[in-house]
Amino acid sequence: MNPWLVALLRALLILLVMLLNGAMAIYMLRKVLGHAHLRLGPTELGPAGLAQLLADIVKLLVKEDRHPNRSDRWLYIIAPFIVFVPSFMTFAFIPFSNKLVAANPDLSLLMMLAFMSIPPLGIFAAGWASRSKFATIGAVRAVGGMITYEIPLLLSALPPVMLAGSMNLQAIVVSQSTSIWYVLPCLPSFIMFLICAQMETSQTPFDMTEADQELVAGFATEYSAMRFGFMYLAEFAENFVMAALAVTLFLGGWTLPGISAAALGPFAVLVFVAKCYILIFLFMMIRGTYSRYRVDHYMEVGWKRLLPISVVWIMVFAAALRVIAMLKGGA
Amino acid sequence: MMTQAPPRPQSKWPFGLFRAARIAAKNLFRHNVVIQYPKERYNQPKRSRWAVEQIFADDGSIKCTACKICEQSCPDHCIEIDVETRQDKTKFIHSWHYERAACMMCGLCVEACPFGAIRMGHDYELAHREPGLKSIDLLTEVEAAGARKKEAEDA
Amino acid sequence: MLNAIAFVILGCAIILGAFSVVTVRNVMHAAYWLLEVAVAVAGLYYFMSAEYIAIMQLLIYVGAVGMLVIFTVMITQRSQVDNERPGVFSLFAFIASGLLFAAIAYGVIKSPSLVASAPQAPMSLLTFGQQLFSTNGWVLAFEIASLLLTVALVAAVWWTKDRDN
Repeated sequence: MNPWLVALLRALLILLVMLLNGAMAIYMLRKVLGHAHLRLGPTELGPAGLAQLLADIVKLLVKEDRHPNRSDRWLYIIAPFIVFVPSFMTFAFIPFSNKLVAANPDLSLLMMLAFMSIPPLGIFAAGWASRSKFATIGAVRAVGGMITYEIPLLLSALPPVMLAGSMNLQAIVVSQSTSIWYVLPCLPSFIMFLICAQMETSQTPFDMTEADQELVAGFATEYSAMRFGFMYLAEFAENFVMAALAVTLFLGGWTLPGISAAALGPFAVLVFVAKCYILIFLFMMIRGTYSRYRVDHYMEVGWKRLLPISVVWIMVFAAALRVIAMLKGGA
Repeated sequence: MMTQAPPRPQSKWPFGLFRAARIAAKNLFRHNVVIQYPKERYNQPKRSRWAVEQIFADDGSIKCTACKICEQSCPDHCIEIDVETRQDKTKFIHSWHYERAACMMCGLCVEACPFGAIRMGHDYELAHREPGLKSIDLLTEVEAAGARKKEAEDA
Repeated sequence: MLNAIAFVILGCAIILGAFSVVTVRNVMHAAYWLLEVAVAVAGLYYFMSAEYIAIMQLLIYVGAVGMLVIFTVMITQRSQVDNERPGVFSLFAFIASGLLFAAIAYGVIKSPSLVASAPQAPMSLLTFGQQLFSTNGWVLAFEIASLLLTVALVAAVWWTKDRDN
């Protein structure tokens, strides 16, 4: 088949996955948060509130799309795209199963992390272009937090690479099927990855950016209609991407222990998605349980505690790997 | 005698995180505490205070003597009684006007009424779309209660 | 063929972006055009089979240096007036940059040894790492660069510390 057509089909499929995930994640979020707070989520529309999302989407589509008078028009228009497009691109590298991965370059993990470092710029543009106090403060807090926790994120993604010997996500998954899931030897990395993921997606306890009691909607205050929908969707997409990355690096991706890839066949996708959603459920429960960190507190935790811990852990881990290799080589 | 336990000192280990997680996980299985309003109704306590209502006896008679003590005791001046005192000292209430939307439901008028003619109602579905229900007349063109008593004495 | 099309598109994006950085009135817009140039350069690196460099360009230039530029623009802005820069045209600068461009173009066209052909496939990360960290490779440059960065970091923290303590 024409490779351009194949590429286009893959891109459309990824878009479909992203939209479906957004729909399911939004519904799940409202229900999980509701039940964790001793209330029901949406119940009126549709059976058990399933059509609430449809109503929300229709509302977002028909709302008037107006920009504030004093806002910086070009940046205001471009910002949602800077947030949305890289988040969308990272979906391409996730290995859903043995054969289902849209793009599989050698350095797919690094590419994914590189693309995930671009949305903070879009968030800043959104907040800056709105020229309102809520938006600017929210944007600065968001960007500050995101760049702080990016470094521990990258560093905590390294131990699985060290164990697997490759930066290719598919290779990391496959090597986990031959040895154990990397969550066991790299448990501190897993915990740090979860903390950084919680920050990168601006969820409580790190959601100073959208602290609704304080900042209305943070950087997205002056956005309405589909522009807001874009950024909202990008947030849920990043949620899924973080969970997918954690599952791929630490929890064995689409493999189950003891079952070979051939035996899993098409169920690998279900296994992967189920694991992702278990992690997303964990993120949502953390979101609904803990109180919010103050801005200077989470900056302090990021720079003064998490960063040194991740660096030290990498050194310890690498030294331990070397020692084990020397012992194995010697014995 | 009950003694208060001393407050738990804050430990340097984050055990609170795990306690919070346990509570949240248990909450997932607990019953919902929110009343789903249109389908379930609010079970009010007996002494809950909503808008002021006149007490009508079985035969439709009122106890209000138009003494205006409730009007004086209302902090927001929500009650306005338009009463006409006739030559034989009987009173005729033209209107017992009540600004229901301004009422803060403090119950001072009910406490002040010496004849027990008004009470705090139990109806909480007071939202309305028609403009005429914001301030209503609870009584129109009736004889005040004292007047009837005097008639009975005369007769 | 694909390389040629990609080169033309990315090259135009880079030139347009660079031109806009220096001519756009709004300083914040100029910062974002700089980011656009960085992203297009990353794309160019990718098509030259330098996959790792392209990713590092995105991570570091766009993610870190771009962020630094934007924060600098934001913090050094005292009022709305500072946001707009005047668009003055200087004939002297135009002629000087034109001469510089002519000199570089002449040098690039006339010396064929500067132009090499890109390798077909990117180097594997293992080879790349080995060459970077081997003693007859770039490890000395790497160590000096990291030492420099550490010194800069410590100096920055020291400069911004409260002097009274």
